[in-house]
Amino acid sequence: MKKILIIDDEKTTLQMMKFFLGACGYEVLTAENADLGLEIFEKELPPIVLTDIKMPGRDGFSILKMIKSMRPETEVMVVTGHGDKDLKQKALDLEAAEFFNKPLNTDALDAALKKIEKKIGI
Amino acid sequence: MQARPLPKPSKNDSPALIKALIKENAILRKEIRVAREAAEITASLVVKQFEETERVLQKLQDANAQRKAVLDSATQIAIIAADLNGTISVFNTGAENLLRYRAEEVIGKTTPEIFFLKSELERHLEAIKVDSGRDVKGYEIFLEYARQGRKEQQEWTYLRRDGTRFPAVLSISALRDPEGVLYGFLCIAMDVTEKKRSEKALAESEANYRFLIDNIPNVVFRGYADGSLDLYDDKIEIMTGYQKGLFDSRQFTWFDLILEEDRPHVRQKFIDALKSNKSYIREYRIRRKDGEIIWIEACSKIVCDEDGNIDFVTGSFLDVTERKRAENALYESEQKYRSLFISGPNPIFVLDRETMTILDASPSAEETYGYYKDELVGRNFEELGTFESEDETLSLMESRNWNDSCIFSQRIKHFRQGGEPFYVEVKACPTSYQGRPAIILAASDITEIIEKDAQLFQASKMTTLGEMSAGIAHELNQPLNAIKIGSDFLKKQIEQSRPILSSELHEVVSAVSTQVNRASEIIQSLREFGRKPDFRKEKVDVNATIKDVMKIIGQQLSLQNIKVVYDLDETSPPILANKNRLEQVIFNLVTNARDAIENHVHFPQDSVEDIIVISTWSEQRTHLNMTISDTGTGIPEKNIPKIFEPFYTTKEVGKGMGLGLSIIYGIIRDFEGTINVESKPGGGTRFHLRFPSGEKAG
Repeated sequence: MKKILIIDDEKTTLQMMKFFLGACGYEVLTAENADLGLEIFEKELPPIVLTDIKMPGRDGFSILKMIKSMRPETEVMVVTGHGDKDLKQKALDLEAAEFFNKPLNTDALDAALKKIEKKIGI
Repeated sequence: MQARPLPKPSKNDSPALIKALIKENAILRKEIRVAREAAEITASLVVKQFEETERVLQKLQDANAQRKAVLDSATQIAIIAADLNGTISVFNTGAENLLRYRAEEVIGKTTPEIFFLKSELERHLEAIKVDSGRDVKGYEIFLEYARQGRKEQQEWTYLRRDGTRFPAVLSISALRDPEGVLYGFLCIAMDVTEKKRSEKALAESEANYRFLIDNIPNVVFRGYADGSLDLYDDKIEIMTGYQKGLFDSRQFTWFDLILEEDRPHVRQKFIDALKSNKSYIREYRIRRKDGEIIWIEACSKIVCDEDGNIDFVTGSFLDVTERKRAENALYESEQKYRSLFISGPNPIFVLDRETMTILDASPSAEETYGYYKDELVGRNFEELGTFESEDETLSLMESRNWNDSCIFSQRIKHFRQGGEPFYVEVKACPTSYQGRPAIILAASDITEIIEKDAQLFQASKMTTLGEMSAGIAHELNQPLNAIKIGSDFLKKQIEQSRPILSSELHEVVSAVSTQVNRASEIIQSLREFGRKPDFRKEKVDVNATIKDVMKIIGQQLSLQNIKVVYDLDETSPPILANKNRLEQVIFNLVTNARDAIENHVHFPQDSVEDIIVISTWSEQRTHLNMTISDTGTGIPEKNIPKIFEPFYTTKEVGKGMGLGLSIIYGIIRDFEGTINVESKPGGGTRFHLRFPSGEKAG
C-alpha cells in the first residue's frame, strides 16, 4: 500500500487529512510536530511527505531540507496558511514537489498526487 | 503795663498834723484876745486852712481806696511793692493767686527774691555788672532796674510756693516820693503761660502749614482774573521749568501754558463752576519750558467778595502725567482683555468663587452653550455640567484652595441648551470681579479633539491590524483548512459512491462545528479589537483583558517559538479603564516584545529561550501592577527617554508608524496610571504599568 506522511501541528487537520487521503487509497502516517515526523519518516520511509511550514519548534522547511538530504527521491509537498510567493519560491528552491495554500484545494492535491504516483511508479 | 508812682502812704501822719493845727489854733485864740480884729482874719484863714487839710485828707483816703481796689481787682496780675530794704509792702490778690503765698506771710517779712530762680537772678546781676559796672546783690537788681528807669518788659520765670514755675512778663517801676526821692520799687507781673502756649501752638501750626506747602507735590496758588498767579513756593519751577519770578512779575500767565486744544473745556469748567458751587477740578495739559507736555490736575475754588464779584481763585496744581499714563495703560489693557473676552474663540465665564454663580459670560460662551448671556448670568455654573472630571470623585472646587494657583481639568462633560453633551477642558484661575473673589474659567470645546484622538487611535489600531493580517489569515486558515478537507472527504466518498462510516461522519461534522466556532471566535476578537472605542470608563479586569488579547496573538507567538509565561494574580482588583483601549495597550506592548525578540539574533543552538513574561499583582488593593517583559534586543539607554514620543520608531520604514507607545502613554495616563520602562541592550525590556484600583468606584 502506498504510504504518505503528514506533519501538521493541527490535530483536526491531521484527522481530516487522514480521512481524505485514506479515501484516496493511502496508508496515512501523521505527526504533530517536526521531530515526531522525522522519527516516523526514518522508520517508515514513506515516498511522499506533506508538511505544514509554520509550526512550533522546527518548521516545515527544515523538515524538507533534512528529508531531501536523507532520501533525495522522497517527494515532499509543503502547505502553509501564509499564502506568500516568497515562501513558495523558497519551498521550490528546496526542491519541494508542490506548494499548497491553506485551505487546501483538494483537487489540486489529487492532481499532484496522481502526477507523483506516475513519476515514482506506484 | 506802666505803673504810676503812688502817693506816700501818710494816713498815720494825719492825727499829729491835726493836733498841731489845734495847738496852733489855741495860741491864735489867745492872740485874738490881744488883737481881735487881726484875730478875726487869722481865724478865718485857719478855718480855711483846716478845711483845706480835711479836703486833702479825704482825697488821700479816696486815693487809698482806689489803689486797693485797683490792686485787688487785678487777680491775674501780681503786683508787689517793696521798700529800699527789699521788704515787701504790697502783695495783691493777683500775687496771692499766682504765687500761692498769702499777703500776710510776705508783707514786711521777706524780699521778692524768693519768687525768682537763683540762676536767673544771677544772670541778670551779671548783665547789670557788665552793662553799668554796678555790683548789686539779690533783690537790689530790681531797685537797680527801677533806678535806671528801664521801661521794657522782661520775661522772668516765677517760682510758686510749691516750687512749680510759670513764665511771666515783668515790669519794674521806681517808687518815688513827691520830691522825687526813691523809696522803693514796684514789680507788676503777668502770667504768660497761656500766651506762650498759644504762641507755640501758632508757631507749630505755621511750621506745619509751611511744611505741608513745601512737601506736598501740589503747587498751591492764588489766581486772579487776568490769569496771573501768586505762588507760595518754588515747586512751580520743577513743574513747568519756568522761574517762579516770571509768574510773580506777571510776565506771563498760567493760561498761556495750557495747550490750545485744552483751553475751551478749561474755560467751560470754570464757567460751570461759577454757576454752581464754585469748586472745580480740571485736568488739562500744559507745555513745559522744555517742550514736554504734562498732565495737570487743578483743584480750585472761586472766592467772591461781598458783592458777588470774583475776588480770586485758590487751589493747587498737581502733575498727574504718570497717573494718566498708568490710567491709559490700564484702560488699554482692560480693552485688550475685554476684546479677548469678547472675541476669543473659547467660552469664558466669570464665576463667584463662593457660590459658583455665573457673573459674566463671553459671547463665545453664549454661542457654545446655546444660551443668551442673560440666561447664563445668575445661574449656577454647575448646571451647565459638573466642574469635575467624570472619573474624579472629589470636587475640584472643594478640594482647592485658590491662593493663586490655576486649576486645569481634563475632559469634563458639559451640556448645551437642549441637553446635547460635549466635552470641554477647563482652566480656572482665581481673580476678583467687581470687588468679589471670583474665578475666571475658560472652557475649550475639545469634542473635536477627542474625536480626532479616537480617529488616531483607530488608525493606529488599523495599522496594527494590517501588520497582523498575515498572522490573522493564518489563524483563520487553520480551521478553514480542516473544514475544507473534512468536507471534501465526504464529497469524494459520495461522488465515488463509497460508503461513509458513521464514526467518520460523526468525526467530520464535529470537527466542522468546532472549527467554525474557532474561526468565529477569532473573528469576534477582531471585531472587539477593531471596534471604535468610546471613552467611557468602567471596571475592567486586567487579567481577563490579557487573556483576550492573547487569543488573537498567542498562537502566532507560539508559532514563532516565543514562550509566553503568565504570572497573573487572579485576586487583583479591577481598574477604572476602557477595555478596548486597555487591549490596545497590552496588544502593542506584546507585539513590541515579539518584535524585539524577532530582532534579537542568536543561534538556535545557543538554547536561549525566547520568552515573554506577563505578570499582574495587587499592591495593597489600592493599585494594580502589570509587567510585560521580554528577552529581546533591549533599548539603548539614550533612546529610553524618546520611546514615548509620537513617531519615534526603530522599526524599518513602512513597518510601523511609531504611534504605538505614544498612544499607549496617553491611554495609561488617561486611566491615571503610570508606565515605566527598564531595559538593557541585549538584556531584554520590561514595561511596568501601575494603575489605581477601581474597586471602590461607583
